[in-house]
Amino acid sequence: MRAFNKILIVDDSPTSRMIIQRCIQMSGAETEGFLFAENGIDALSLLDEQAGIDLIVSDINMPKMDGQTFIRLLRNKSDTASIPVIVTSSIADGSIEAQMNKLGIHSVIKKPVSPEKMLNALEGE
Amino acid sequence: MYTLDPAKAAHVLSHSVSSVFAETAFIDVSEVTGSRDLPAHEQGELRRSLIDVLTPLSCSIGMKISTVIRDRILDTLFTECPEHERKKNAEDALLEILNIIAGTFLSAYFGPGTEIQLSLPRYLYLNEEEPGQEITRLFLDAEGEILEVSLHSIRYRY
Repeated sequence: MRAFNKILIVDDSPTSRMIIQRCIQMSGAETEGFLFAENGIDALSLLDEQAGIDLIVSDINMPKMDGQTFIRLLRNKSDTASIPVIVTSSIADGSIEAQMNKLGIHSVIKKPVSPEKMLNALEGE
Repeated sequence: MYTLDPAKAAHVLSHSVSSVFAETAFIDVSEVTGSRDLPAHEQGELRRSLIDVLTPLSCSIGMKISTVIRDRILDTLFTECPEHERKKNAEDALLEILNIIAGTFLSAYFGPGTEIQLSLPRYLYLNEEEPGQEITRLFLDAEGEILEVSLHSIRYRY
């Protein structure tokens, strides 16, 4: 299992952010710390301010800037394009996976997130 | 054009609610027969929430839940958190669960390949009614507490 420097969790729900953090910890992944953002705009600001973020876990349906837009912008910037991203979503309709595959993301976790689902996703990164 | 069959919707919705409550909060939820009204004195201890479905069809999913169940959910989700964190996140926890129920229901009902879009979940206050025409209403037993979930078809959105 890879160790991560800083993990950024992007979700408008504080409950969800807490669950994701706990699932990452329970999966056995090691990290120096977690950062949190409520939407894509705040996440991009954090990425500008903080060095060393080497994993992002992002929800899709968020206010102000949704996950798809956030990830598209992420991929368009040279300093963030290669940061691994795990996507979470309450929906498993296939179209999200297809959209994420086009952006080079292959880990989509259907909520509710569990330590087992998180472990599977992390092992792919 | 997508439509909802009431019988299938009720079955899939019931299963979705059960699985989400089990996976997120370890609460067993099962169907009850007939309607169950909460006693009048408990009306002030209810939380009513709603999420709109925008695609592939226009409808909404509502949930009515007592603060007793909410507190059990918080006990599970925020076991190691201080009391002020629990209180701060209490209302969000129910909305997130409704969000997951909606996604689970729609994914199961329509299957893979159908694009689904949801609004952000919200609370209903005072006398605010659930919009649209009722398709189904479920009364579920959450370990001794009644949980009410409904599905409404909304013909027009402005």
